[in-house]
Amino acid sequence: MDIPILSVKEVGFSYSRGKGEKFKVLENVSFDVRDREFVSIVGPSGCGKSTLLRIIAGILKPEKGYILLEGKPVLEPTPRITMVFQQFALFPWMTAVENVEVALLDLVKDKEARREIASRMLSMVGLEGFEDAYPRELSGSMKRRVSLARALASNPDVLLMDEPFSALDELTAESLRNEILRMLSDPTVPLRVVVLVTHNIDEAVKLSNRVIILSRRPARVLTEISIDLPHPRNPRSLEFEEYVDKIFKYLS
Amino acid sequence: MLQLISLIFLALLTSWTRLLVALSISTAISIIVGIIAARNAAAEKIIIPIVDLLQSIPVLGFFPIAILVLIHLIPGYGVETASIFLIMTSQIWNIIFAVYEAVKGVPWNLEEAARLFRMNTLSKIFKLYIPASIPRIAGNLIPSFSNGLFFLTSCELISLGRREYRLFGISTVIMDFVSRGMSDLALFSLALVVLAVILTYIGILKPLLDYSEKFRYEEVGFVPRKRTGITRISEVLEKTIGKGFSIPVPKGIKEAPRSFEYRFPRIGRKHLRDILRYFSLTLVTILCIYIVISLVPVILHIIETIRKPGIAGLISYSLAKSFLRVILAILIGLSWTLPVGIFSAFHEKIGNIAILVLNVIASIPAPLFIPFLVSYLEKISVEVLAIIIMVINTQWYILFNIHSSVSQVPRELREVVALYRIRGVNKWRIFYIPASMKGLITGLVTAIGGTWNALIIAEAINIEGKLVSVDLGIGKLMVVASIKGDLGLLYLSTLTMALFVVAINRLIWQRVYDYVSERYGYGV
Repeated sequence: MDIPILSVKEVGFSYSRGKGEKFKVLENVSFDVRDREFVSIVGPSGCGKSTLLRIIAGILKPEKGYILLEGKPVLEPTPRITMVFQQFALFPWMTAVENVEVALLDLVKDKEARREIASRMLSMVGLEGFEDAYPRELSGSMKRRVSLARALASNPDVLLMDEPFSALDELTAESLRNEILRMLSDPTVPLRVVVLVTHNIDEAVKLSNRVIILSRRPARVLTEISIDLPHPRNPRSLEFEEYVDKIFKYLS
Repeated sequence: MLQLISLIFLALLTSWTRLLVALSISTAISIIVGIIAARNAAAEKIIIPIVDLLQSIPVLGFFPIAILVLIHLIPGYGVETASIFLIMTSQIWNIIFAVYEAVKGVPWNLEEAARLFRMNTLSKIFKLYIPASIPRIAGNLIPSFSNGLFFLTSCELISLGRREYRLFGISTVIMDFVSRGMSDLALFSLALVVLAVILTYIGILKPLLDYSEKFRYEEVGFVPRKRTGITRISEVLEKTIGKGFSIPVPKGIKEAPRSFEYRFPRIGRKHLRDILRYFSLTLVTILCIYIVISLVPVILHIIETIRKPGIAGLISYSLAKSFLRVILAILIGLSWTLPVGIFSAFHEKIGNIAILVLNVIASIPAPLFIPFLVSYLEKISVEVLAIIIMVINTQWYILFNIHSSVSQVPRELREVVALYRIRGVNKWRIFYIPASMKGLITGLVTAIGGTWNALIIAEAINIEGKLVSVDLGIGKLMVVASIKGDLGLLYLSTLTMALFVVAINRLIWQRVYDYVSERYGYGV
């Protein structure tokens, strides 16, 4: 328990705007995530939350600082860290099962084994029978489930989620949220850490052990708030609303 | 010597003015026609098939109209007008389609917002339709400019029958130099053309393209769009006209009606609208009657020609031979543009430079090389020369369409490929090739259309009054007919080719395109 599963260490990042002009997105961002912990990142829109997630995933290289996975630096994408993208990011020319297989192409060389794992993942997210459907034939929530199945296919330790529920209706979002919470507490699922980027403060309070609040650009960690409420949490309870108000105050 | 050099500069300036004037008029007309076609179902059914047909008629097919109507109608400036008109016929059609498709694709919620804020037709045109079409228009200015440049030679030297109308311009000046054996000056002029093309590209077209990026509606996400090339002109543009041009839904709020102020002028405006409607209706009717009347001799000519023995066989055999040339030219072009296009689109750093360089090379008009190529005619056959010219003209369509289609791949999909460490063969199989399919098909369709049009330049080359040509070909047939002044043959061969191209488009390409955009499109 001593070494955190995921450490973000003094990460800084800026985009160049051509002609040497640069603008800072992230500055000195640090935090740790421990085993079986659900952490949400909130902050003003455009503050660089999504950029931070991509740096953790190893898709973007940080300008300063580094990411540690159980004490070892993450220098490029690894199967142990996975991500659910905001816009589903499914390949329109591939069926649901082929889209899930994408996550396994590099890991499982045997074609049939790959297909078997992918089908199993799809039935785990409740999409049995939709293996051969193309993304355009699926509803928003089904597409979200496919992208979740793909993210979990490689048995990752860390699941990163970039506003995964924002495109869904509230009922669907709620059932998917509960599913992820269940997976995190289920000892048979190897998932150990979830990092969620969201605009929705209720969602953050509902799901997280901890909420990390980022400042306006360039984003720094303003504060971390631990949510000490038992699950399932009732959004109408007084304690819940106190947490929401507290986070609101930091953001406004 | 100094005089000659200033002559070259003057000729270059004249030609460029012609090209840019034609391009501006084409854009203006395209905006009007494109919006009408996209927003009026009846007009759409008439305009779109006509534009589709006209697009596959090569410049030469418009010669008779240009000469008979314009030169005789406008004394003094007739030849100049005819030349600009001819240049326009080589660059307007794709811009019309661009506006049409862009306006058709205006998201329904923007349309509703416009209605909610009670925008009238005029402000809807200026604040919704035109801004929405700007990215597509800008994207089409480059190929249109190159195409105009490609046909410049034919548009500055118009000949029909025994009459030859010669305009002062860079292509006629180069021709003169070559025919007088002053190849140094000809080469110098050609180098200047290349330089002018580069300057036009960097100074006008590319900044316009960068500037137009602002008008895209899609959320850009967290990666700011790259600004490449020289952006100064686009910044000036932005300062001067930028404010009036954004998609300004909030602006409509200011225009929300204040009751009485709004209603009074409305009555007056309605009258004005009625008057305008009747006026345009009469104008359209007169125009239609005029077109029908002027079509009568065309039809008579065609009927007369069809009756001649052997004509049908000649035309179909020529068409078949030209068809083979087109296919060969496309295959040659495809063999290198497909891999290079895909590679350059996915390797941004090298790709952007490569595309910039290729763009410049692409805009050098092949016909200007013809006078030089002809001197090698003893070593290569006319047939090979024709194929070379066609390949030079059309390979770029495939390349740039693949590039642009691939750069529309959503950023998240690229990130998925990176996240799951997909490399090598798998990357080509599941990502590169499917992602370029749409561009490949669009590119192929445009390239084939362009190759058909290039036939008239490639199959018969008029050099120093001597016609060097392939044995049989529909392009050659048109050139010969126009030189002989055989209007019937010219009309008939032009029409046959246009119908053939349109038929193939409708029967084959339309279906392939629909299938590919359904299978490989990103519509969620």
